[in-house]
Amino acid sequence: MRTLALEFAKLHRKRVWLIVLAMVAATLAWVYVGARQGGAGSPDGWQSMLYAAPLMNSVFLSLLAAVVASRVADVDHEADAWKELLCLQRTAPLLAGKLACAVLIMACATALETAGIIAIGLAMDFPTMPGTPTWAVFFFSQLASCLGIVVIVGSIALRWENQFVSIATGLALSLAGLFSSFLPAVLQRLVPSGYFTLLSCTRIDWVASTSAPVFYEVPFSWGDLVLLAAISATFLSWSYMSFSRREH
Amino acid sequence: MHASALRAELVKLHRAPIWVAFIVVPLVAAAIGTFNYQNNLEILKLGWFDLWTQHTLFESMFFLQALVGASCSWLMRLEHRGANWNQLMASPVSAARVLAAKLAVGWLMLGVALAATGALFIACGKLIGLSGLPGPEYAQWLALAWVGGVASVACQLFVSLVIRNFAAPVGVAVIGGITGFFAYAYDSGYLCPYALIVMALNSNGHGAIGAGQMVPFLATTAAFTLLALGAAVLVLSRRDIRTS
Amino acid sequence: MEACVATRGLSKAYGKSEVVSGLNLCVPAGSVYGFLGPNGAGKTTTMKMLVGLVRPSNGSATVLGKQVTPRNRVLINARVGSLIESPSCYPHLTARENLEIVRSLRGLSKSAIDEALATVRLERTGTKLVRAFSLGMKQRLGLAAALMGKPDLLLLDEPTNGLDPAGIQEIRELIRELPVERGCAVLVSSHLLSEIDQMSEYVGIISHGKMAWQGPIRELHAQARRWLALRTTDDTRAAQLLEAAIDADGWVQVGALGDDDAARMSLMLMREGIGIIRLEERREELEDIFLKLTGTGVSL
Repeated sequence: MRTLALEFAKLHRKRVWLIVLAMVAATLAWVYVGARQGGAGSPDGWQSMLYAAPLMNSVFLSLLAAVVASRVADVDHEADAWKELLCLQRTAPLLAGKLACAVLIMACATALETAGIIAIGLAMDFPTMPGTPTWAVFFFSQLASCLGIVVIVGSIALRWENQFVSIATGLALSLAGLFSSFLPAVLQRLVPSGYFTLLSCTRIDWVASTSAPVFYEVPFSWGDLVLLAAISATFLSWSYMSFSRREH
Repeated sequence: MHASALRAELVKLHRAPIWVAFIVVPLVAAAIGTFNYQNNLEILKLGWFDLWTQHTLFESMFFLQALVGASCSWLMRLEHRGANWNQLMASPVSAARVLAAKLAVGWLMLGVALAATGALFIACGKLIGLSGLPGPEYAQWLALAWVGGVASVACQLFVSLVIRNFAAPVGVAVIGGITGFFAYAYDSGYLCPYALIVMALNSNGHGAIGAGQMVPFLATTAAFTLLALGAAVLVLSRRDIRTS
Repeated sequence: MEACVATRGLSKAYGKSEVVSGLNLCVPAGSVYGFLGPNGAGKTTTMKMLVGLVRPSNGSATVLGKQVTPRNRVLINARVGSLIESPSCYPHLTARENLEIVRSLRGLSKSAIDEALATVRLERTGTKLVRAFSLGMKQRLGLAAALMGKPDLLLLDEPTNGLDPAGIQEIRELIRELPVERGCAVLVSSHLLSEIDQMSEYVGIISHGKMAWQGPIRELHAQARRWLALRTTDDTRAAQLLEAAIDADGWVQVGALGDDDAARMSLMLMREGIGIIRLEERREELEDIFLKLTGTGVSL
């Protein structure tokens, strides 16, 4: 708990929250543009947003997660502080504090986005708002996907001091996330930023004859969550081992 | 020998293989774009042009901007570290020349990315068996994007000069790119410096920049570039140098 | 006396706190000028104002005959070498590549790099990246960068930071020779008086942003208070008779006396039946003067 508070203290005046706000706002703007196409009071308005948001997230939230992860790791590169820190703290709590800090920031971003989507839906007068379980699943599926990105980009940001490497990786992930939903599901599982849509429960079916989309619900994909957890764990242990083996 | 801020900037690129990113990001865009094109052959019937939009739509409004943002962050971080601003600004080179040199290097990097985009476009097209070669207009679009892109580079240099961390300016670039895309979609692309790349590449098929639009396009590019560069020169020469 | 650095009422305030106030600095041409002060006294800020890195909030500075203004900065800096705060370097490059950057910025010939590397003895670092340099090596690299192009004025901010004793000696010698061999004036800052005493002819002592004392260092030596300290068979009475104080170690302290007065004092004590056991001449250490001038009781 204390190490977590320390991480937040280090980010003081680093304008992290400003970036979070701006990125979430950009995502919501995009969702809003999509929602407007259906028109106010559209019967499948909620579903269309629940479908569109994970698509947007695979681009925006994955980039935001990369930026946050790089920032959290980079504070101590910037300050040349690893030597002193490792005299005071053991490696595991230090890295855990950083991870928790990044995840907490992303939780705020995801919560903000969820609230924003609800606000848009209410403003657009969409009928029959989904209940709490739907929103909870949405929130946790998106947050879990963010976690994967945070771990991967964070590992890279820790390993290479030049943050160009981690940010470029984040960009590539974000770019891949954008297209991952067009890939066959097997390939999509290999793209860490593809989990935003993989874990989402709202799917779309294009009816070719009418060109009108039909939304439907699928049960939460526990298998994919396990897969994502396994990918994250792999990176986490690689990061931990390479970090503790390195001499500072 | 003549004092040269540009030569100094080029030395700093030694042993910094960041150009790799300028090939990898277009490569990812090309790979996914081509895959997407192949999977949607029943709707995409325009051959080279459809492949072009698949390759460049998201790259131009989003990833190229972020890449420009990251390279400008890198160029400025070189100096933000330690007391490096001290040495640079205590040398007999004006703030304007220091920034112009960085602008030139950033612009060169953008050129690498655009050249890679063009080369990958042709390579992927031939690979999936499109007939003939794309017309010369694509080369013209890429060249125009390079020209217009100088405005993005100048703006990002200013942002990275003021915001001293690496990642935040990249976020600014992404939001700038999206704003630019919207501005273009609502016919006010000339109001946003980040829209110029999107316009020039004609990646959403709205229509290329014709001969009649050349003058406003170039004038807007010059205006945004000079504005951002001027602001940066003012900050660098009038404000006290801070070292971290 | 021609001055190559002269400031008039030079001041710098950050918000309400003034870190340099009304400084009148005068560095004579062709000399080594020691700029002395405790940490945070305003030495670095002053040096930054001389090369235009920081703009004064009041007053002005003239360097090599030109007033420091944003317009003149480039002209002045062509003739000034500087190492301010920590050495500037790009860690992903070698020493040679780092100097290549300085060479490009200053428009010098290729040979300047070899000369500078040889002067600070870094010629054998080859392809080693500066990232892997020790603090002392980085400091040498910073010195090399400052020396490139044979400047007419050098500003060195605590240049012996991080060097080993042999390195410190080497750099001091180098600094002492610069005016003689290259006609280059040096403004060198330090918080160690002994160090300044060894290499400079002039000294300026700054405290809380104000100049506490400035002039030739021999005048500072001359200012040192001198006195006689004696031990007698009856210190208490001796002190009474001489109207003198007894210090903590039990020595009777008498203000500095000429030869005649000293003779008269010993005869007088003898008449009173007090034998002199020890008689020593004492003088104030430079450190004590420095502490007195800077008003800091703390040791440096």
